[in-house]
Amino acid sequence: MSTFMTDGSYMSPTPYPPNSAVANFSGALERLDGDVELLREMAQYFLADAPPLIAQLNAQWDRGGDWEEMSFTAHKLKGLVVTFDDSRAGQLLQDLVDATRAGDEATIRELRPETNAAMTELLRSVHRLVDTRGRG
Amino acid sequence: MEHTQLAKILVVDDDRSVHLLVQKSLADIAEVLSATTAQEGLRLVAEKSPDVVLLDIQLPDTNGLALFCQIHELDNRLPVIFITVDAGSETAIEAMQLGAYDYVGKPLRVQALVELVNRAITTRRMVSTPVAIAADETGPSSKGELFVGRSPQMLEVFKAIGRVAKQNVTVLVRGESGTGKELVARALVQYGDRSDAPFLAVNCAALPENLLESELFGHEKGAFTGAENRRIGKFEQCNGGTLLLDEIGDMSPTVQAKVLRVLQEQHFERVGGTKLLKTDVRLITATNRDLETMVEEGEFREDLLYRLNGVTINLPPLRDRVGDIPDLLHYFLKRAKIDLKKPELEGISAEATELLCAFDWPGNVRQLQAVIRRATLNTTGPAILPEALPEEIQHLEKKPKAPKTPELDHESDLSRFIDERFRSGSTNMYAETIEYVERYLLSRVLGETEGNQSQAAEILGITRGKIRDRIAAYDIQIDRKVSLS
Repeated sequence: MSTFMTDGSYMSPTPYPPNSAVANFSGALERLDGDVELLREMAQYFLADAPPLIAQLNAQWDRGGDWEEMSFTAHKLKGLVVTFDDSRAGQLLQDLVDATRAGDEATIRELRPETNAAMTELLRSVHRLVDTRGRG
Repeated sequence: MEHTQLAKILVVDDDRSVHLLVQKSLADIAEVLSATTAQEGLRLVAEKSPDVVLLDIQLPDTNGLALFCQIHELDNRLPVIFITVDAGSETAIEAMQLGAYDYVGKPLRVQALVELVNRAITTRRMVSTPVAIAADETGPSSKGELFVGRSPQMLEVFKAIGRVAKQNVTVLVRGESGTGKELVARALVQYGDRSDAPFLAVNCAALPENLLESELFGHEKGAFTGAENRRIGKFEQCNGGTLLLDEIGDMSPTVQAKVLRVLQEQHFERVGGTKLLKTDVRLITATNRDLETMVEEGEFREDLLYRLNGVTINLPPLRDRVGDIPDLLHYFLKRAKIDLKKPELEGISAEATELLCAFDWPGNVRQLQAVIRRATLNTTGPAILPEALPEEIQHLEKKPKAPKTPELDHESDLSRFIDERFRSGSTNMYAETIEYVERYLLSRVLGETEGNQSQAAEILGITRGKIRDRIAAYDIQIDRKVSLS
């Protein structure tokens, strides 16, 4: 189920399962010299900036044809995703960049559901990270 | 050049989390300017003259490479560091070949970013400020740095710069720390035929052997553990321009051999590569070490020394050109008054001038500059008086030399040493404390090895030459029991 609206809004996938596993952000934290607040602030930016890009990507999927524009969007989204060490989402977006550059329409379309699912999962994890504020 | 203001770093990226990270990471060392589009970035380069630019390779309104070219049309000495999601991409390689300072891959790592930006700021300082040569007291009218002096020794230096600047020869600049070797290098570039071409500088003592080799010659992907992408080295980047290798005496034999080959054949290979690359780089080297002794002791290649010292410019220590001290005082005071906003300050009293001229200045011009700056800060009236000077200068007759380091038996000794430096109004505390600790460390290790310098070098992870230098510099007596004189 896609949670991204083509107008750029994002339907928060709450409520989250209370006992679900928390994503591992230790790599990101280590890169930021252990600055938890900075990581949280970056996570908040991600939660605000990634959904419109995902919506834009879906609109481009719907329209089809403008692969150069789609390549730019996927590349930009990948730039946001790498902060959180999500190799699956990162790889899918890289595959999308490669497919759009090659004009490989079949692969571009194939990647849509999996990319959306991976982004939804990553957004959930990042939401949890932000929601841990004040709970130690 | 002394940094009187924070460096300015311009970040051009449409990812606001990058702006946030850079702002938080670099706030202590720089003023961070932000742009999210190429147009805005270009405007800020023109209006704010940043010292370093961090540039996203893919921007919404243009390609980062195109913006890079526009930036370099405005200021071709401005270090530009590309930010890219694909650190190994051909675009990143192209950026380096175009003359980018470096590139970093996302996700950004705070510590590595701070180190890289610090290096870029240093490079900016070394390659961009113009040098003026004044042999009289009129002083500079421009914002450039000045070579001050009319002593016969400095006139020889100026003449040598004039003679060789336009010749495509390798120049070796020799002199004690703080004498201004960087200024000579910059003057050679400024007055030479390659003034519009790239000018890069590498401090050979600042990097471990393998990193230095990679920094100079680049490396291929997979050349060693951690070499995830191809990297373009300074010799390749600097093609057509000038490369300053500072602290040349600290290069390992492997790097010496590769530098020699470039000088002989203008060819080299990237680390881990087989492709022969050609480069046309004018090399300027600088050192405060005795390279001839290092050759005798097998630590520096004789053939490389001959290649390097075709033209040698020797910078005299300040104690050997005391006649220049009044001019230097005049110059640094003038600058300090402006930088520190002290228009009411009229000058230096006769007593203070006498003390300043009598001091032996082990840290040379750099130390004198720091002392004047500190004294200007300490002074509230119209003249700098002796009491505004560091204690070792105020009490010159009682204590003519820089303070000797006592035995460091307890941690509290270091604390006391630093307290004493505070009390004396030291303006050179970093160097003094490093020296204090270094003397102690050397004497301890040499004591453990019963004076065996090779063993000590191995334990310390430095060369035997460096140990010998330090033993001589600190006058460490080696006998059955190692002690400090």
